[in-house]
Amino acid sequence: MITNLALVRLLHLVSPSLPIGSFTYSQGIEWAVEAAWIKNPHDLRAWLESQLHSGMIYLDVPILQRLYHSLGADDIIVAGAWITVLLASRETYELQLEEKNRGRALSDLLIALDIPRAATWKPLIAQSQAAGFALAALHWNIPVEQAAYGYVWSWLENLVLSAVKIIPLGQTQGQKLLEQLSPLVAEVVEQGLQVADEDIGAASFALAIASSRHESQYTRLFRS
Amino acid sequence: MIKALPSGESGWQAELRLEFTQRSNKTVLAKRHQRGPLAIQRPFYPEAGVCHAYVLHPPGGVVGGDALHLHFKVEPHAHALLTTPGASKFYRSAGLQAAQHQQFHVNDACLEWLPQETIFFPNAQAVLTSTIHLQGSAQYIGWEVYCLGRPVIGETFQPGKVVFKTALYRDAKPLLLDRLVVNGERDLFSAAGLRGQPVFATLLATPVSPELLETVQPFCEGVALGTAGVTLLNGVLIVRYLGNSTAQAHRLFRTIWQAIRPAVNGHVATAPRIWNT
Repeated sequence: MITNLALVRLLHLVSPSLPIGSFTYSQGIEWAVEAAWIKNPHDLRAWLESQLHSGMIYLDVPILQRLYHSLGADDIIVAGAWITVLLASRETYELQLEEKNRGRALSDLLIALDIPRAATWKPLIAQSQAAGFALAALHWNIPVEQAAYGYVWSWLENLVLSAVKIIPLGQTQGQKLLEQLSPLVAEVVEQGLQVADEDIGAASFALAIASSRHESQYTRLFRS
Repeated sequence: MIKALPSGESGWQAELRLEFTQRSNKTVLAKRHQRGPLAIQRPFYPEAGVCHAYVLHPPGGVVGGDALHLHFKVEPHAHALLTTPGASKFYRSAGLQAAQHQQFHVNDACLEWLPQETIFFPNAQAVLTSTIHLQGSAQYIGWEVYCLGRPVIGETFQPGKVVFKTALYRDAKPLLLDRLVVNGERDLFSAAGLRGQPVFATLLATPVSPELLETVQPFCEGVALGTAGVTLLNGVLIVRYLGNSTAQAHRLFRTIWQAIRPAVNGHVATAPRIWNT
């Protein structure tokens, strides 16, 4: 069960107004649009669904869960090992850099909010936004399951908002897409929390190519 | 001698262990252990000092229950280049899973693993793992070209299940971890995944500098019969091709191999003669 206060904390943690620059990343969508892989809401939905079914279930959610438990047990050795796994599993330089840049921004914010251990563990959590997210959730008594819902939702919302600007789509079309994909968030979290250690990891081939090509894309507004 | 060891229901268990060491001015195959239908042809030396060799799998195809194990070890200062004369094939399976496990240890030495493509027939069930352990200043160039079904005869990959895992470590630290599962239609057609394309291929090379990355980027633009991209992650150059032509994937990788080889391991690229046949 999540307490009312913890629910409010979770809403705060996933707010797009959090000053960590989430809206500046497109995770390859900017190139995928230029390549005409994504032209309309239907393509965008398929792109996001395919990542929800692979990367979110088999990489992000299970590693967030393990970071939550290891940081909760003060086990920074294990947490550090999972961060290394996460960084080596990001398919491109830009996707890895995004993980680190968001991690640094989030750790600075958590330190400014006086979250215990954020300062002492900064060298660790500044490498990964998932780690900072887990630490904030622990401090605010947000259960791991709800933290994972928030994490996946916030990923989805940020990418839809970026894509709406890039394609471009109307604001309402973006909101419709979020409404349609919301049930999938529940499914992804449920499955992601069941993944065994040996099944962790997910490669999205087209995403990896799109992100690689974005690194040298001539005209680009987004950082990934 | 190749000793065939069919082991009943569990299929062929084949193993090839090779160890390369540096003797005065050339690399030699110092140790060889083989079990089942995996073999190596006598090494040859088309360029100074570097040991070239063909890895053979005489049956040519792998069926459910078979397991192939390739262990290559390259000792300090040695340099081995291994390739295969023909495509590997994973046939349809009535249920049993086939496996191929590659384990490479490169200890302050250089390994190049440049095989032909691996083809998966419809309804294949397989797991393929590649684990590469680099020590110290080790250099590695390797690629894998995979083809689901045989697009040249218009055959598509009906839902089988294939799991691909690659892990590359330097001094026990993971530089690259990759796991791809193709299990049914949804994975074949996933928009950010395979997009319905039958051929996907990855080239890895390390150590590589950001300057070298810039020289490779143009090769990945405007590739015919597919799409390609290159990135540099933790000092590992990763080139990916997604499309419908194994020939195109090989052309791209061989071009890039020729461009980067001098910078990665100090040798001008000498294409194995078997590539011309």
